[in-house]
Amino acid sequence: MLYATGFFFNIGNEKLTKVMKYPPGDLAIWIFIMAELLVFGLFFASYAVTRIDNIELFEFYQQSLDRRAALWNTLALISSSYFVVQAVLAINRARQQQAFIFMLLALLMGLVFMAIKTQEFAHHIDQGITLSTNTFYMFYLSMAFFHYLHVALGLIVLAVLANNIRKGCYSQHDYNGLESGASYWHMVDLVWIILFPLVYVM
Amino acid sequence: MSTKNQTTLTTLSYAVLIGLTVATYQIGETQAHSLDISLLVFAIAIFKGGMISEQFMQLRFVKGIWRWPILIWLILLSIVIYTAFTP
Amino acid sequence: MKYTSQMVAKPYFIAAIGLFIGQILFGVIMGMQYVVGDFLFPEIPFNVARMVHTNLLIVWLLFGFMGAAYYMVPDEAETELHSPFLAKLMFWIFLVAGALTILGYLLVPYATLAEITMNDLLPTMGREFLEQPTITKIGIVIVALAFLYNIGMTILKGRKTVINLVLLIGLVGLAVFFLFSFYNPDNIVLDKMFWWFVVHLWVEGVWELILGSLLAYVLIKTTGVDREVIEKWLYVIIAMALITGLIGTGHHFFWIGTPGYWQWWGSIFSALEPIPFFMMTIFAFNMVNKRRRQHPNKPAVLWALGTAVMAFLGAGVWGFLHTLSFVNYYTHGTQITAAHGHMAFYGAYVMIVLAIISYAMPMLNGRKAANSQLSQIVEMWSFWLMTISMVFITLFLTGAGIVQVYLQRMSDAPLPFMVVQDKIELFYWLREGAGIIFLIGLIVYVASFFVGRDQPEVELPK
Repeated sequence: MLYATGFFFNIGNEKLTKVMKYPPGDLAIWIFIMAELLVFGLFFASYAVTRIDNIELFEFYQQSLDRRAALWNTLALISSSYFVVQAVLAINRARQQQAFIFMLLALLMGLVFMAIKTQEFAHHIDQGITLSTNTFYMFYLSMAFFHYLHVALGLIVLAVLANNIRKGCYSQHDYNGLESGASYWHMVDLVWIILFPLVYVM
Repeated sequence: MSTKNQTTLTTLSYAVLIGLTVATYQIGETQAHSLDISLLVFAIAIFKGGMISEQFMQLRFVKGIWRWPILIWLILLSIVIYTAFTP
Repeated sequence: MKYTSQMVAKPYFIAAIGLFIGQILFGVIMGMQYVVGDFLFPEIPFNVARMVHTNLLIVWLLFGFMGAAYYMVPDEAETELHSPFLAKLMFWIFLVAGALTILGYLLVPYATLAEITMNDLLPTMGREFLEQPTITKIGIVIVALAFLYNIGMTILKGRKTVINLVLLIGLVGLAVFFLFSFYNPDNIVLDKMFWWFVVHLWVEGVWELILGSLLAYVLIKTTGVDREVIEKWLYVIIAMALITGLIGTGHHFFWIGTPGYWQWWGSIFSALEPIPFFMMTIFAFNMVNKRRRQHPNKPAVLWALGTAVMAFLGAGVWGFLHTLSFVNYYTHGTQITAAHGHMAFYGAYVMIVLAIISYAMPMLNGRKAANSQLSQIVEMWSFWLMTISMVFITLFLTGAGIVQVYLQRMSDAPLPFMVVQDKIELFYWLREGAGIIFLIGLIVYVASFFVGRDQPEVELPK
């Protein structure tokens, strides 16, 4: 595993150069990202700890979740993040048009997530499942809905970024705002990447 | 690192992420998985998280303290999840 | 002082200090009543003293916030206040309404007060901290609306700085959430839930925006650090405050009959409420360390730094100690609560108002920037007397609380309430001692406004 990691992060002959003192984008957004990860981290930890005394309950109701929908959601979010990275790289190469298209693709993937997730929630509501149904559902609905809200905010951010690219707000030498928004979106993706296996699979 | 290489590496990372995601799903579909499989699934998730933070968020180009918080978060989560899932 | 209309802040500040003195006198009375049960009974029963103590606290802090806004906003917006006359009029209305209310508490039985103020037309009386007659509450709304109008119009016609906008959002929030005091559902669960929409969303919500903006203002003025740096910090701090504090309201919904998921939501989000206070502490010390100049007003800087530290300790740390539901299960409604409440209010809100008064008053009194050496020394003495004695009040109440929780709730043979109160009497005597010293500190503070008046102000070499 370590070898694979090493191979992966040092691909090709080029030496990895650590060049930045600060992460990309505004430092303020990174404080925000850390805080969000802290909240979600506490939720994940609480979920895992609560599960200890409720293993049967958790495993039983876990089966009632739509794992296939979650798969598509994960693929959608990862793809969306990928397109965001490509958009940033495109701006770096002064390819404004390309960046705009990538950002639209990112937005599209994000909307796919929202659509699938909304349908999932609607299904739960139809079945009369609420936060008070049982402890598993309380955690699942809380975490998934909290994440959902972040996706919604993220889509607004991506839309603003796309519009800004279209207006030519970012140049090859100054795209701090773009990187700030991109970093936030990657955080949203990161949270889901943990949530999916933890709640739907394990 | 040149942007061209960055693009290639990013696309490769994306492919790996997709592959690992599908693998996780397939494991989930087998229904009868042991604790070890569950922990493997989570380890995969942590690895994916590391790829997001290092590659997509470009944190591996950051020198100094700002590179580490997300990685530390992933490690701490691993410890908690491992402890909680292991009887 | 660049704008003459800033002078309207002065009566607000004076009233604030006057009411503060009243608040502490009644605090000391209650501290005595804890150990000598019939002290001043029946003239001032405990529950009446408590209403006076808590209501005076809120009202003097409101006077302080309004005075601070009237001082800060013209300066930040770089234009005169929209209507100094309205500000002065509202001052007198608020002061008279407040005074009459307090007199009402003291002079007539509460039920009579309810009757003569026609509470039954729109009942809002009878809840903790919201004991004011309905007509007083309506008066507060009118005063608040006029105040917001005045400040809003000033900001509209002038420079819209981040400090101004954050302050305005905080003040609007204060007014909006106060409206919940008019909503009294019959269902006890809902009644309690909405009560917290006033109290929690005030002190762990919009008031933190006010605190942040006042702190940022004092720091900009006394350190000369770049406005942009301070503004960025302010944004992050209030974002943290709102993210943690809004859903964190759930830490008041553990035991009132709401659904069980609040135990999780309330615990997880409120556990993070110390973060903005921690950031404020780093922020304050960072700014002072990076300062471009030495400011001659040393007490102002001391109050500002002290606010950050005491707010973090009192609101952040002491709050965290009993915020998780499985801890709160045992500590709810005990002296632990009182310990937290006192240090939190003092650290976060009393001190920031004193900080802004400390900064502004010399100039409202005609000085250029600071008071005389003697006055500053006396004021700094009052800072330490009040702050250290408050720390001890909190420590003694924490001690009382720990013993109380153990004996009354956790031991194998739990003891009744009054039996336990008897056993923790020593802590109450010690607390009262610390309270007297706090009062002395407050007297020294008031003295600082009068000593050294004829002496030259401190000026630092350029």
